[in-house]
Amino acid sequence: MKERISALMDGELDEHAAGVVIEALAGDREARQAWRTYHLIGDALRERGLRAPRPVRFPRFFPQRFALAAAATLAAVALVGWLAFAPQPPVAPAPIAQAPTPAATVPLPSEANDYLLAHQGFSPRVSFQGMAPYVRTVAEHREEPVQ
Amino acid sequence: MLLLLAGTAQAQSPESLAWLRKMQEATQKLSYSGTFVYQHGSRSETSRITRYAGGDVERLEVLDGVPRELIRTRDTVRCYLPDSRVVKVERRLEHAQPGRNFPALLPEQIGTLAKHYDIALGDTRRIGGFDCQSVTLTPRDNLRYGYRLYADTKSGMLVGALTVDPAGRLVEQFMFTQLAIGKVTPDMVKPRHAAAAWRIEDAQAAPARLPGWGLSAELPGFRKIVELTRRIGESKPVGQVVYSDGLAAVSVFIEPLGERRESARTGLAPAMGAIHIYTREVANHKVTVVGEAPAASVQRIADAVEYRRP
Repeated sequence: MKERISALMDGELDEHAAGVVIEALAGDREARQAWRTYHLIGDALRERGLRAPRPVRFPRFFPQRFALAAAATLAAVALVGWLAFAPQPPVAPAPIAQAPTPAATVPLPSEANDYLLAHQGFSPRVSFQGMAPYVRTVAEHREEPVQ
Repeated sequence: MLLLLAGTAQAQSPESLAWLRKMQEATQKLSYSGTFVYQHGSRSETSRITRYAGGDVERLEVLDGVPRELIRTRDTVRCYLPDSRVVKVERRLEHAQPGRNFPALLPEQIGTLAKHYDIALGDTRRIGGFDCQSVTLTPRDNLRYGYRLYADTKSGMLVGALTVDPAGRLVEQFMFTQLAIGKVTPDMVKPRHAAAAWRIEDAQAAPARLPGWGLSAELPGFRKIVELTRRIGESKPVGQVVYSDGLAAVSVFIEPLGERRESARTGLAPAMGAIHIYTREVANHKVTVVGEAPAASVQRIADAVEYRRP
């Protein structure tokens, strides 16, 4: 199953196979943990910087076959990262420069997700992107320890 | 001088505008199903999205973190939260007011985007097995973000979308890692949960006038597109005014502080990708401004909110 999860993250599964794995994720705690672990690995490596990829060494407890699957996942993450850091066109100097005084930082409002749900529906972006922008919510993680 | 002016006016090529139209059409007309990654900062989240164009139904399932499923039909958006056994219901007002053009941009409005963005064809690239053409939208000032949109050259389907800040740094990105166009059946967009005994939180959104409330100065390019009352969670009615430049939108929420007078803390919350939230107190109301715009723009709108006794 873990290889299948990794393949899903890499976009290697067809429609039907992807559906099967997603069903499994919804009903299987262990599968969800694998899913999260792979993401954590991806996140950790991304923080190290993508422009100079280094050989990846997996901890000893990390079985070899998972390591291969995770490496494939990293390739997908790397693709995403590479697109992101491609050179950007320069931005013309701003004609309007009355920047407000820097604001105090406050915690996110407890209703942040409700505000976001209320807001997204009016964003013209949905006409280009469908519902995808609705994924933007405040991170809330359930108390499920990763082993 | 004339040449210079002509040059500015011609900055966006007809091809790039045609590509934007093609993306928009594909989003509305195609059935598709795929897995995409949403990434901002060091966070990345994977979700599954399925659209059944025949019934105009779309389903979004967030696969990381707290389980969440959203179903959008022609007239509502329902958000299912299985952990708390809650369904949040948003009625889609854009269809309740015929003749109004929000939130979807009409094809003829795409041209007006060029007032605030320099629109051009960008690079071509292969993403998730699709040959893609990019369109770049570079802001003409520092009040809004820039975008790079990658569309499948065959179908026009948006495969990747990058948001960059005025300094050219990445703010957030959406990228399909797997996508199948067509082959969607109605049962693929049905909610996973029957949600029979779940609590329903209906936002009860309705178009309304909010007398006395307005902006002392509008943010250049952002015009008011809708004014309504609604609930936030299980709150009392809250006012919402939405401003947009045609691509980015900013919502102003206006909520009475009530007799308990718990004061609203003024300030900016940590960014979530392109989204900024700024809160302040105006005339015994908590004003919360939420938008996909740089922090300074969100703050400027918030600072301009005023109440004048009608």
